[in-house]
Amino acid sequence: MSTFNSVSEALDLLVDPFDNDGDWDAILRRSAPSPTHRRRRRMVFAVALVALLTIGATALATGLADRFSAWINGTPGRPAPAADQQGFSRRNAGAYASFPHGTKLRLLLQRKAAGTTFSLLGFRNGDTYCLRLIRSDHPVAIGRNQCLRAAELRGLAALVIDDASFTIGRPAQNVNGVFGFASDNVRSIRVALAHGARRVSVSSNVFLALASQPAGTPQHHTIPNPILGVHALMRDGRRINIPYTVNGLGIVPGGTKPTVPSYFGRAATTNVPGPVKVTAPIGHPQIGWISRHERRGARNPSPREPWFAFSFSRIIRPDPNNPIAFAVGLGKPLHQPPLYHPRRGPDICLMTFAPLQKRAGSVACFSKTFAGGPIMFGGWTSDQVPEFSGIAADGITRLTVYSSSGRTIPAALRDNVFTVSVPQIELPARIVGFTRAGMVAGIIDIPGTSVGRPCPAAVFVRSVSQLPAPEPWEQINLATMQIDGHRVLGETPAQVEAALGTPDRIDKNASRENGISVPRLFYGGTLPSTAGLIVSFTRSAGRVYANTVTYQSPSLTDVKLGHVLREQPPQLQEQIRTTYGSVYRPFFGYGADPRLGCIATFRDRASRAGISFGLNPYRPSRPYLTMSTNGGG
Amino acid sequence: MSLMGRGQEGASLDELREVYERRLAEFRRVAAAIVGDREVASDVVQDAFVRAVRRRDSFARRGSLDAWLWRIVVNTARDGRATGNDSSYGPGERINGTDDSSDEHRAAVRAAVQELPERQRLVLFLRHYADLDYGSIAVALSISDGTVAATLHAAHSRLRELLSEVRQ
Repeated sequence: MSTFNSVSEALDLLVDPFDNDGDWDAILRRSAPSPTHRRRRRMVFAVALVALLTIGATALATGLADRFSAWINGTPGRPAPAADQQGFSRRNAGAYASFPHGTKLRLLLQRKAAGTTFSLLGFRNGDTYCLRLIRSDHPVAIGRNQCLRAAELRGLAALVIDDASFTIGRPAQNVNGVFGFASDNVRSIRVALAHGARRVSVSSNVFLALASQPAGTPQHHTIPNPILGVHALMRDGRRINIPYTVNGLGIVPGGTKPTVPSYFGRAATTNVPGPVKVTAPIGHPQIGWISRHERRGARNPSPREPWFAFSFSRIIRPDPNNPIAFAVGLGKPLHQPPLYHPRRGPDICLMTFAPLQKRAGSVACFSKTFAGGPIMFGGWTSDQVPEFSGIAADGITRLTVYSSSGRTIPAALRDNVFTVSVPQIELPARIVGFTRAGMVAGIIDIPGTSVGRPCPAAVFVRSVSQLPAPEPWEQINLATMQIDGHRVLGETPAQVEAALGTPDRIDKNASRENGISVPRLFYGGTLPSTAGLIVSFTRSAGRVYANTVTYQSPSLTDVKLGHVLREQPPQLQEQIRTTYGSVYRPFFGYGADPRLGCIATFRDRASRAGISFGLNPYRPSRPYLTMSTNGGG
Repeated sequence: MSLMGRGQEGASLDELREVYERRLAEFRRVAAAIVGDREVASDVVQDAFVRAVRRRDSFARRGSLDAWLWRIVVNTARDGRATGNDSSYGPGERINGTDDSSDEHRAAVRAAVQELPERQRLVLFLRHYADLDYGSIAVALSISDGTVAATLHAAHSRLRELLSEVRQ
């Protein structure tokens, strides 16, 4: 027993201790006799049979009224610890968009990740269920907060309400995950990652799945392991796919890891239901009360920010059950970036005050207000259930969202400011503005969410025999990363020109880093889309040096592999693995993660340099290969 | 709300809740050792207490309530394991909370424990993870006190032996 000093020590290793965080209320709910049983006692057999059929049909139609019973009875979990309650109250008191004073939180469950405990708290606000995820040692922090109308859960087994993302400690650890609601019929939630899967239990009709990994550094990247899908494992043994949008990018069909190289492609145009034609156009759309400087809503506590100033504004809170508030009025940015056209005067602007935020958030100004129609978006978030907000012109009295799922969702509208939450999984959608008479006055589309699709094959217009002989700058050695026998990565622009010859074009101001212009050199063409080679530079420690070379030239030739851009990417990946395996290690496989697209990456053994290659799925005739370095050589 | 006072047969909801809240971590740990999955273990304990609440009138008060509940938890866990776990368990699921799934020592212990007869395993789990006395283990497993002592001794000896073999 030298490995284990005792049997006790060995057994300690087998099963880690648990916490005492239980859900007694759930036991009471589940152990109570069902209404069906109670009825059965009182009825004669024939009547009971009819009643049972009726109850069953009603339950199916309504999605079972008690599916989220922990929340319906209003007391999920247990009272939040004093520190968590006080932290919320302090933050709420300091926020302009705040929940009602005295809101009491409940502790729903806790999970540990990267050595840190995370608490999922919950509370009700009007007709919404709200979840708040915090680090237990940072109860005042903003954390992740999301509310959802109870009606949104009707008929669902489970719903991911938000992603969780935290960075903790030194060396930094990334903690990522999801949290949301699960009905009484859900036994546990399975989260499918790009590598592996996790299962978490459901408590108080909520779940929280977290996983950690080293955050990495610019010199030592870590391989991402994103969540690709979420499933509900039901008590009756079924497994139900919970539609999940990967970090705001797109949906993987079936929520399972793709088995072929994939990318997130634009969603196919869907026939979104609802009106498509404006039947009552508004002649000169405007917001009269702003023009007249009427004192609607409340005073704006933050009319001037370091980057922006209102000349007139009021605070509007469109939804009485949602603390989100907007400052709307006339204003303009104080420091316009040089690329923007200077504004002549103040525009109608919309500034967001998100719940629990201490300061004003984003601001959107409409330089040609209502030029595109009487409804304008101010912005939206990339959450699982994003909130879309904007302004609507006078004459629009009602706004309705028609989602591709077939649902209609009423938007909150007050004093020409609207806000509405639409799950990403129900996009694309259309917002329709109606007049008091019920005529369509304006329509604005919400684009769809991307969908994971197989990478297309590279298309080669000319065969290798038809290609011209490679230029010196098209001859590389992947092992040494040299071009025509010259070192390029890590060299200054002058040294690169000396090695490769005069470029076809020099973009002297490709970027500016701390006031210093950083150039870009083009060979075999003058445009980024057509150049055969682009040499990019960066600046560090006062020195400008080449850090990336990107090839699109079909004549590119490696000393050992030949015409590397005349190979399909999966074949090139295999050739690099077998030929240069002693120099490079696979970092992530071609198209293995649809978030990253149709790309493969190898890194050298010291992680200082790497090779990437792949193709733009929308232009498969121009595959590319890049060689890059993190350091100055 | 207590449905039944002390001195009568049956257990009250308050009494059940008290044991649940006091010993939940231990119930879950033993269940995890039996079913081999932390998340399933939490469900097993919930299911066991649903059973206990429904059958609370049948608690005869001839032994301790703790031991009666341990019997239900152990039986529920054994039922869960016998009916087979969900085949969708992925490689990230384990009975340890950490992310370190490649720990050779842990795998060695798991393999060694699996070699033990079921009764030895259960006695070992109840003694080690729940710190139950011999009498409570006897009630929980419906065996005599003497059998508990002998089984535990045999389990310790066999486990030491198996772990030594693994190490070599």
